[in-house]
Amino acid sequence: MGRERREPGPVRDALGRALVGMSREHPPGARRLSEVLRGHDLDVQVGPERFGVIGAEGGVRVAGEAPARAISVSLSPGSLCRMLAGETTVGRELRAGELEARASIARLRRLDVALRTFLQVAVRCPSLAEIAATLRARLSLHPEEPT
Amino acid sequence: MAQPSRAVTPAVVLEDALALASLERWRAAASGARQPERPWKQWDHVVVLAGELQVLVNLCQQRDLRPCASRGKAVGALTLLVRERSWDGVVRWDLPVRSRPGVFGARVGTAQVQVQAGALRLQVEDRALGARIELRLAAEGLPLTSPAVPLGGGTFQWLALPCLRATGTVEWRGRRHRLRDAPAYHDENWGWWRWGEDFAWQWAYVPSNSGWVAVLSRMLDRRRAVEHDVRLLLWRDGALARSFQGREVSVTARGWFPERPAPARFPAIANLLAEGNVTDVPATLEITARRSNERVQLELTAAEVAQLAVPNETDLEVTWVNEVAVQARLDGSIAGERLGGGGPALLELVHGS
Repeated sequence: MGRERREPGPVRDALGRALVGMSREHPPGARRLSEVLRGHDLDVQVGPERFGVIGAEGGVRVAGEAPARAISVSLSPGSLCRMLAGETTVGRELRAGELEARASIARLRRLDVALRTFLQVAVRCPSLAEIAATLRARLSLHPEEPT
Repeated sequence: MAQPSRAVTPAVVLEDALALASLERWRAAASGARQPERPWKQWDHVVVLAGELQVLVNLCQQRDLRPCASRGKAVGALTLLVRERSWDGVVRWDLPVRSRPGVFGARVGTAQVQVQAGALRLQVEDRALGARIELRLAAEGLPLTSPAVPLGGGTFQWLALPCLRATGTVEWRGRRHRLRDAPAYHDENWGWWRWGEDFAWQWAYVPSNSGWVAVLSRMLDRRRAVEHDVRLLLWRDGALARSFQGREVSVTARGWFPERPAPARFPAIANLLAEGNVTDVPATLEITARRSNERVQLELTAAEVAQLAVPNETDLEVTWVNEVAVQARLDGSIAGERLGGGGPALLELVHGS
């Protein structure tokens, strides 16, 4: 028997759609994000949901699993909701222990640049507001949605 | 055929002046219509300072230069800031726009400003916020227009009506405020430039409780080392009494606004684009104007800051527009008359990222 195929959870689904939207609506920004993350994959955990973000040559994409030696990022669905609503900042969530990132200092710096680049491209893409609102609604309704 | 005659009333003069300015704005926009990559912008800005209640509404229209936009398409943004005890508000992007050449007024999303019965009428509705603004802004004088001044890689022009009286209602998050003859300000701005270019500006509206109204307009380079244009304008009883400019005016920043109270940032997502509470807003801005034996001193002391994030069109950064609630103090003398008074005022600082 082969491995059971897992459906993407709400965060992976939203991030995947956001990256596609960015490629379509702001190609220079998507290329910049791809350059920043090239060779720096992420292992993301949001509550029970875990997935990878791959900084590939053709663009950033999400995957079911993260490669070894990826930058580890974990946060709660509540923390993500608060950030999407603009009620808190990344720094505040880090200091509160709601958000954790594990990697070397150099790779953490790269993660910071990638996050800022992602946000700056996101505010320039008309479709991203809807994706973020849908994700907030899904996480608020099902904060522990299994993946 | 003879045209039916109109009685020349102040309201008719105001309507004609605004229509002429709108025509000028349209003519400027049309001059670049065949160059859809030119970064046309215009906005209609209203400020009402009704004691404890302060309201700022900005209806912005601009050519959409994002890679995903159709060539030449216009897009709107609505900024709605209300200060009851502290700044609250919303910025809505990607709104449909409508304005007509030669006809004063604009419509951005569910907000509109237009001329009706010899006065400006401002209407805004935002159901998600429980916000509804319905104001009649009666002018006590004629609008003033500026020449085109350099801004970044382009030019910038404005028309201002600084002596308005606002009457109507402001509903905010379910609370209802009734206003009667509250001091108010309106300006229209238009021109060609890109957010993120080499510019900064400082602007203030001061409706002093002594009856004088002051407006500061200062255009600078991004480092704030080169002053392209500076004016301190003073109105009395609706009429422009003095216009100081260039070397007659000096502006000095003193101290820094403290980290508390923290700046309120809009739209909400802007909180992720900035960390910490530090702003580059001065604690006090001192403006001095001199001409022969006349001297005016205006001191603006910052009380609370709202920061609006505007995505740059030149890079992947934002420009911060600081809307600063200030306490103003006016001093000096003009034509032998002593100036005095002060009160709540609004200072806008655009200092780049």
